[in-house]
Formats: sequence, C-alpha cells, structure tokens
Amino acid sequence: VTLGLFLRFVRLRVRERMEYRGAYLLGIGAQILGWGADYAVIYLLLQRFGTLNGWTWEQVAFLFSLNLFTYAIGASFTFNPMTEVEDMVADGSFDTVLVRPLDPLLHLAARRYNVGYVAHILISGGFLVWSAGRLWVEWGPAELTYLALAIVGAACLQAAALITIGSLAFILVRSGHVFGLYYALWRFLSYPITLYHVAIQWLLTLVVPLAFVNFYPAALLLGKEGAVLPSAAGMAAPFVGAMALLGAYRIFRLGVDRYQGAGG
Amino acid sequence: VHVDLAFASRAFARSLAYRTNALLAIFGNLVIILIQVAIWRAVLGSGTVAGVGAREMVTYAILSTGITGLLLYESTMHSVDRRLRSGDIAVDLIRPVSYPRYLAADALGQAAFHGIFAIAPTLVVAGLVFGLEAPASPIHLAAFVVAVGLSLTVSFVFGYLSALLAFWFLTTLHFEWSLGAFFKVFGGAFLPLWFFPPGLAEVAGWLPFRYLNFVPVAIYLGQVPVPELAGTLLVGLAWAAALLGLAGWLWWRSVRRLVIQGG
Repeated sequence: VTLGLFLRFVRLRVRERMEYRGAYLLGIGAQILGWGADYAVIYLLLQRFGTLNGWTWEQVAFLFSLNLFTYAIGASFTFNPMTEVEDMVADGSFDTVLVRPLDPLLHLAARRYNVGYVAHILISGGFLVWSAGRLWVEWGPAELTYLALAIVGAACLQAAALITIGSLAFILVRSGHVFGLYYALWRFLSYPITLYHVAIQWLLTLVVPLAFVNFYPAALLLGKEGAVLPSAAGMAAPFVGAMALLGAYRIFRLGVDRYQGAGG
Repeated sequence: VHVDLAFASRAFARSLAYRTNALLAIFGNLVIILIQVAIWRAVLGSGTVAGVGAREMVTYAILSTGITGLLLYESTMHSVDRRLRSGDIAVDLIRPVSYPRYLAADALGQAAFHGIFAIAPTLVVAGLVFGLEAPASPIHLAAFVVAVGLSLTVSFVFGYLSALLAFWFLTTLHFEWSLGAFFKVFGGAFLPLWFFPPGLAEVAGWLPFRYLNFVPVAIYLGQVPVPELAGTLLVGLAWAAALLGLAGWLWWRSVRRLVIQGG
C-alpha cells in the first residue's frame, strides 16, 4: 500500500513538472552541462598530471560519479522536505503532516519527492558505467553485488545526513545554514581523501562518515590503499549506510515528539 | 554618482543582516582552498610544471577563490529573477534611474559587503595557513587591481545578459547552469589555462571567460610579462565594452517586449 501511494505521489510530481515540458528539458540539459564542466576540469587536470595520489582519470571519475549518483538518489527523497521543515515548524504547517495516516518522514519523502535530479542521475550514471568498464576490475557476481549494496548504503548515508540536519529545525530556530556547512564538507568527496590532512581523513571516516559514500567502496573495488582505515573498511559501507539512516530516523522522531510537546 | 552610492550603501546595509552567511562563506571558501592546495601539493610536489610550482599554485588557489566570491554574475541574475517573478520589475522600470545602473550599484554594494566580511578574512586566514606569494612587481600589482575591476565588469555583464534573456524565457536558472559550465572550465577558477592542452588553451585564449579568474591571477603571479600587460588589459576592456553594447541593445528590445506583454 505504501509503495503504491508513493508511486502515485511521484507520478503527480512528474506531471506537475511536465506542465512546462520545454523548460524542464532545457533545465536538464543545462544541468548536465554544468556537471559536465566538473568532469571536464578533472579530466584536464589528470590529462596534464597523469595521476592524483595514484588515482587515474577513470578511477577519479568512478569515485566522483559514485558520490554524485548516490547523492541524487538520497537527496531526491530528502532535500525538499528537509530544507522546508524549518519553515513548516516556524509557521506551524508541520501540523498538517502529523494528522496524516502515514509516518511523518515517509509522508514528507513521498509528497515532496524531487523529480529534478534526472540530470545528476544521467551524467553520473553514464560516467559510472563508462568508468567501470575501463577499470582493471574483474566484474564478477561478487563485485557487482557489492557495488549494488554500496550504492544503496551510500544513498542511505546521503539521505541520513540531510535528515539529521533537517531535524535540527525542531531544536534551533534557524537551521538552514547547517546545510551550507554540510555541502562544504561534501566537496571533499570529489577527490581521494588521502590527499587531505590526517585530521580531515578521521573527520570524514568517524565523525561525519562520508568517506563511506565513495572513498572506501571505490578503494576496495579498485584495490587502492585505504586512508586512516584500510580499504577493507569498504566492506562495512552498506552497513554504515543502513545504521546512519536508522539513526537519522530516530533523531527525526525525537524532533517530532519535541514539536508535539511544544505545541501542546 | 550620488544616487549610485545611495543604492550601493542600501544593499550594503541589507547584507549586514546576514552575518551567519558571511561566516559560512568563509568556511566554504577555506574548504575549497584547502582541497585545491592539497591537489597542487600532490601533483607538483617540489618540482615545477609549465614553469609553475606548488607555491605559485597555492597563491593561485587563494586569489582565484577570492575573486570568485566577488563576481557579480549570480547576485545580478538573482535580483532580476526575483523581481521578474514578483512583478516588482515594473516599479524598477519607472524609477528615474536607469535600471542597469541600479543593478550594477546594487550588485557592487553586495560585493563590497562580501569582500569585507567574507573574502578579506578568507584571504588573511588562507594566507597565514598556506602562504601567499607577493605580487611579481608593483606594476603587476597595479595591473592586477585593474584586471579585477575588469573581471567584475565582465561578470556583471554576463549576469545582466542572462537576466535579460529571462525576459523571454521567464527563468534565469538554465542560463546560470550553462554559463556556469563555461566559467568553470574556461574561466580558470581552479585549473589555470597554462595547464590546458595546447589546442584547448588556444580556444580559451579567444574567449572572454578567462578574464574572470585566470587573467587577474596570472598577472599577479607575473605570468604575463610587462610588455604584454597593456595589450592583455586592452583586449579585456574591448570584451567588456562589446558585451555591454550587446546588453544595451538587448535591454532596449526587452523593455519593449515587457511593455507589450503587460499589454
């Protein structure tokens, strides 16, 4: 029942967007161009210098795509609702979410599902497949299963980060700027984290475990050296993602309870 | 000039309310610089490529990130976009001051705020942590200042042109993404043009985008020899003038169109 409901919501969102079909398609083209420029700069850099800490152009493209692809999946469910929670809490319209028969988080994720990540998916998915074909990896069933699990885990992790930040709206009056902090950290994922100071590697491994989005899985698959943890840590990536999402869900529920308390 | 100053100081005052944003911008800039510094130290080590070493590239990363923070492109476009959506643009058009002038003053006011409260602290912190090279010579420093002025002008005209196209398409987002792609590659925000393969470097040299980040920083580092300074700046000036002319023509057409649409 939930899944059917969700698909109906998504269909509604797509139809909303298709009202302005030309603008929608033009927007996708422009976004692909925008992300394409990021790939182009990385390509030009590695054309000139060969490798970046031992990572070739194909390998960095794989790493970068893994991040962008899973971000698009995770954020399509969470970006809109989580950036809006702040205003909904402030003007009390969050009440309307609480009277729905569905779990508040599920309801928000479905109702505010963002169909605008098509460009991200197309370009990062394309580069993911292209680079995977050119890497020195024997893609057997084990590797493919691991990659699928790692992608799901990473998408959960990306969603968990946005949910956790969104939940701050129940505690802080203004929480929107925390997203800015998060996106600054997120930039670190574009390149192998071994480039950065050890303190940053620990930060991305333990405190804000974003290194499990793309670095550890890619290092494991490509037979690269790890960072502060060995690349075998990549095995834990799907698990880290699932735990992070569960944790974020608990935090959101705590926030909702707090909201109810304050309103009563 | 008095009117321009009044508009600019109003935008400045408005920005004062956004101190948190300034802190965030500093943090974001420092992360960008940190990443680029790590990359240049990794690929260059203690050697040089194309006559440039890691120390020069660290300076490049710091100055280029600072310039990006000042560019008027986004602020110009967003203010037109907002007022086009709300319909307030009609009020702007009946003001006794010409709209482009108002826009430029407003964008400069915001840039001044950002420059003082976000960019200057970024430069100080990054300079202390990573090390900022001195300019190649006093002449280069003077040319750098002029080049930053050109960079601001060109970025304003690009923002203004995209905003004018929005009169036809009713949104600026597509232009922001598409033009942003050219800025990223050909502007030299991260990767300077001297690391491009020869063919592409040639193409980039013919485009106006290099005046955004690349030309000012290349001048600062002395990568443009003194005899070529005047020529480089003059070509930039010609680009700015040509783009402004195009914008003026498009503005004239747009206003007529807006009136017709308003019926």
